[in-house]
Amino acid sequence: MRANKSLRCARSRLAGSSQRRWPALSALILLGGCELADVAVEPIPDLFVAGVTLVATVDPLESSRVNTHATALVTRFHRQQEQEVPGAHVRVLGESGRVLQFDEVSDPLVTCVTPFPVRKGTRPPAGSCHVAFAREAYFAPGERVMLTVTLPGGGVLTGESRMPGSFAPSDISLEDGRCRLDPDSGYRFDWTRSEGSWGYLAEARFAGLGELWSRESPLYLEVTLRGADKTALAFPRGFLFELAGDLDSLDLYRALHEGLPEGASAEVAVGAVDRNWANWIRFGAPNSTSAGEVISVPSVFGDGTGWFGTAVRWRLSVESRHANGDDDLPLCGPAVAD
Amino acid sequence: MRAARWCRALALMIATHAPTALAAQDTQVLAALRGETGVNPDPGTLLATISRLSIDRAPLGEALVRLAERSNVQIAFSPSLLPADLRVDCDCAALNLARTLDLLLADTDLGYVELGSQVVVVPRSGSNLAPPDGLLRGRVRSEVAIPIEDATVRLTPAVDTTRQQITGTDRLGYFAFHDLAAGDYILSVAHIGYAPDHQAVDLAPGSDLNVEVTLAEQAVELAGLLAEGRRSRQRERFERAGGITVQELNRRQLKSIPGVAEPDPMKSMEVLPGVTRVSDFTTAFNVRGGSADQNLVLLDGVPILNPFHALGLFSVFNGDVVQRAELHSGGFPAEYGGRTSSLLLVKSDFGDGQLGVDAGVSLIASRAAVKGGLSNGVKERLGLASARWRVSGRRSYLDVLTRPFLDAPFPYRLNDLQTGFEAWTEKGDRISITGYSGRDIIDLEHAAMLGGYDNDDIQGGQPFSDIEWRWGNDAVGASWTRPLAGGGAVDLHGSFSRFTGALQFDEFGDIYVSTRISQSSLGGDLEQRPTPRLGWKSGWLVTRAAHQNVIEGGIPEAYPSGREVGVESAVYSQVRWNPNLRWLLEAGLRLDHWRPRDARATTVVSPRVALKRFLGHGAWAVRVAAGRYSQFIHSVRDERLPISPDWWVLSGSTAPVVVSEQFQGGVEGFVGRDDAWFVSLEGYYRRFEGLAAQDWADDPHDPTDDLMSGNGRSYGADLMIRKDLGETTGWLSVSLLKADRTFRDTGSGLDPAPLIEYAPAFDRRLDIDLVARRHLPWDIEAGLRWNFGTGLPYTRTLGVFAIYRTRMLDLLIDPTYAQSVVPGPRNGERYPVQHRLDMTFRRTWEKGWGRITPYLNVVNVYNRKNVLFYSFNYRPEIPVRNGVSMLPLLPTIGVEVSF
Repeated sequence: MRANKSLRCARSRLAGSSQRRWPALSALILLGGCELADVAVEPIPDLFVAGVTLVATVDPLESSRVNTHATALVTRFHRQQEQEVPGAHVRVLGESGRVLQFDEVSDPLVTCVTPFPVRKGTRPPAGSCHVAFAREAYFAPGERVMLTVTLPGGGVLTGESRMPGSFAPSDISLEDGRCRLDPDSGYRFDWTRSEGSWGYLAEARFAGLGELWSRESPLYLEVTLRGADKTALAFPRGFLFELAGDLDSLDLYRALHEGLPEGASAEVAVGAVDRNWANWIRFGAPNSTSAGEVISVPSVFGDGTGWFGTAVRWRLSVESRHANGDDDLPLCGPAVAD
Repeated sequence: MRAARWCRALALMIATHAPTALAAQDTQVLAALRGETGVNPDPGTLLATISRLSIDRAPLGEALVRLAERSNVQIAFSPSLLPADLRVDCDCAALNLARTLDLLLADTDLGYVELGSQVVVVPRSGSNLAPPDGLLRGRVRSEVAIPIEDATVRLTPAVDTTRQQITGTDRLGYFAFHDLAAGDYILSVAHIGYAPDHQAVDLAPGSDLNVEVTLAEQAVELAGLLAEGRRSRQRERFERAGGITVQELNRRQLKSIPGVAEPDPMKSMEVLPGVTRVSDFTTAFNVRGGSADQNLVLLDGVPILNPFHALGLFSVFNGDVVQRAELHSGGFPAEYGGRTSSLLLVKSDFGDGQLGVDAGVSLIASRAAVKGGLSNGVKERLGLASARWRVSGRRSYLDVLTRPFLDAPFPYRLNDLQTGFEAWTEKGDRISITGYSGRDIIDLEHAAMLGGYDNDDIQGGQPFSDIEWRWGNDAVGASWTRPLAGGGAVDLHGSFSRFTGALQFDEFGDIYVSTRISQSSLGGDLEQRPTPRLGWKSGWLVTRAAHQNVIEGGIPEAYPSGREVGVESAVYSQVRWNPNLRWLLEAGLRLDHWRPRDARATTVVSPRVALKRFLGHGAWAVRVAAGRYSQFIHSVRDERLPISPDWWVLSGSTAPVVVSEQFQGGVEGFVGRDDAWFVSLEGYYRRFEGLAAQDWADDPHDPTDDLMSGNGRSYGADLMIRKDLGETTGWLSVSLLKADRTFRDTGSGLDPAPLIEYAPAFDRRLDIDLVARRHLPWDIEAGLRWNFGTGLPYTRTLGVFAIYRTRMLDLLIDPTYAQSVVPGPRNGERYPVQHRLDMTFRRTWEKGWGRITPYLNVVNVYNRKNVLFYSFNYRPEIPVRNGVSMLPLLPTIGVEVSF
């Protein structure tokens, strides 16, 4: 047990806290609640957490061309420290009786984690990674799928989902999954409705922004659209919320607000996600401490917790430049101001 | 002649060792007594006492006095009842008191009765004296015809000064005494700031006498009169109110309750029975198991929707311009609607019509209030007998004061402006206007520097930027009241109130969050009192309400967006009936009709009934009350969090209608000489349907499930022991509470979500407050508050883990993670007991130019570390629990001036 540190007040405790805590910070700084002394408590048992995604990727122009990719991150939290769970078995059983078996990978950081430099305040996951891949629509749209994770010690985690319906972009011209926009002009992605989904997760990774974005990792922005009926998104304006509040990105914000600058490009993916995925990414209720924790809504139950999300997605690339001859990339579509 | 008779009566009463043990205030009870003769007393009784009286042709009154002296038994009688010129002989030395009185009273209609520690001589049964059916009512006004509220009215029988009745005047200056025996009385009226008035009243049998009392202004403030006024209000409420539970704090009491920085009428409510608060950092309070949004807060009848500054740290009310705050915590008659848990009435002090200034400086804000009246010429042109007004303003100045010491301005400021006007026409009508406007502003443009970031951090792209968050209330209301004969009145009132809040990113125009709710109301009431035993009141109220919550720019929807408009129409009628001196019945019916634009209309029928039985000599009463209540507005405040802003929604397609059924019963009464002590013990049971809570896993396709509908229940008991007279005043309040809530547990992830029952965050099972105020040497006024409360519930963290997201672009795991917890049973654990001692010291110096009062507040004198919340760290080999405490030892100072 550590010594009483009652004189350390909230001012020091909260310094450096994240933006979501600033109302609490403001108030506590005003009146100075103080930190309580540490008190020993009973240890908790190890916690097993499984994060499993099952994604069907459709060709934006040919919806019959589908492949299926699944990833499972199985982690043991021992005293809040992440550990691998070697030897776990992961599989997904469809209503049709088909079983998708996952394979554990030996190099999870390479195979399962984004290669970009870790941002300040983040850390790579340290669990065991299991993947599965199929060059087909392994499970049908709307099909109920059941997850089973068997832990090495015999514990079992289960989850259930229903595949969202297939969907595709509408009124877009593409060539090999690519299209062009005139510089500094906006566009609006429209797509068909994904039956049974709870929303859409749209992501964009930008390149060629020049001095507007000089950091090592590429600019990555995402936006969540709630509900299956939200089938339109302004590009790139609709992705800019994450930049708000960062005055250092003000020029970038203003530039992208007008459109994609000349020479820049973006990879865009839009995924229709199921209930579990939607609940997971919106995090759930805030915990009652000021530590910024959340109480996320689980979709994996049994001898642990976690989430099992399914999605259908398509992806394409957008390049910003003036037309360069007749055989250049087609315009994605007419420019849209809003 | 009459004066001589009174003098003789007084002399006789003194001779009989008066005052007696009889309840002085209950003439009616005495008048109703009937005596006997020929009583055969039991051994050991007063009437069995040997009289040792031997008397020869003495006046009867003198004989009775002598009898009392010789027997050493108190004998009470009214000289006016004795036959004039009757002389009696009695050689009764060896007789007991009963036989002696038989002889002395043989030629009269009088008998005797043993009552407590004395023998009372009263008319015999069957005597043909007139029944006590006299009525005396009247109105107290100032010299300029302003009705004087809270005046203390005493009625003293000329023949017996011990039989005094006390009451208070109502808001229109009316008072009434009924069931009076015929005879001569002295009517005394007193109120602070006025010279007392005494007048003789001769009441004939069966008469209905109406008196007009005019008090002359007298610029002397007597502390005793202040206490008296408060006590008379309590007495009047005790006698006239059947079911409602009201606790009241006047300005002096509010200022004697220690607090942070400056007196806060809302924060002071927590010292009252039935009131709990989840932390030191919020002014929102919970009453008898109700949610914070079930408290209706009215400033002079105008609703203030979000009466908080600084995210709930302080209320919007300026203690300098508050006359009193009344918390109505249950048993509401039918005239009350709009909320289901409590009503907080904050009444402004409009001043005395004389030009003056009250100002103050505290650590929070500087404030000033200017009061005045209208010139005679203006009043004459407007047809007014009197008019008074007050304007007050307040502004925090931490942003200004800290500028030389901090790298950047303090990011928060508040300001508010309050106005009040009250006028009385020459015909006696009252007109009042109240206005309020306040703003809180958090400007985070430079806040990063305050948070400890250096310039490099900021240039590296840190979180704070040009963000400004403004919120506040605007409210205005007016009322017109015409008094009716007999104490009734006609009221018309209208108000507009709104709360708006907006979070703006000045440089990022697309992103915008705002909340707005407004209410416009128009209503009227008619109250009539055909007889003092019977009164009824009816009224109507039409309210148009609208809310609009906007979230734009891709912000994750933490709160439900949308808008709703609705019209609430309410009518009520209630009756108050005293069939006799023992019983008081209140019954009423209220109809609330809510018609939202986008959902089905709802009508709630709300019967209300209360029954009160006076005990003993009218100093105690037992009462029960039951009723149904409704409300059509919710705040999506997350009561699990120590600080949480209000986000209002109206009942309709997304939020349910709250209906509550409530029962309460208890006993209350006065103890001690001159009603010095007031004691109340009350139990209650409440059931709530249609409570709203945020659904963190709502279906985006279902616009009606943003909020979950749930039920609640609470029961408990409140004890209040209050002392209003003497060197030390104050009260002890003890509150017992058990509350629960039942909602779907959508956070479980299970489909369908199971029901979960849990104790809400404000479920403090035992709460004790001791409040005392005392004058110390050197004219220092000291206030003390000690609070003890059992622990509030919380949800324990059973595990902490990182959550990652899979990127849609490449189906790889994003290392940007967040911390999630595995929660234990909802609110399944409790924080430790909390207790705290606060003190305040005030000293007033009267100067030629006015008055100056510096004060010192000390919060948490012994620096108790009460828990605000716990955090669990399971990373060490031996896991630890730590957390953050509530307010530490915190002295603050301030000064007030008046001139």
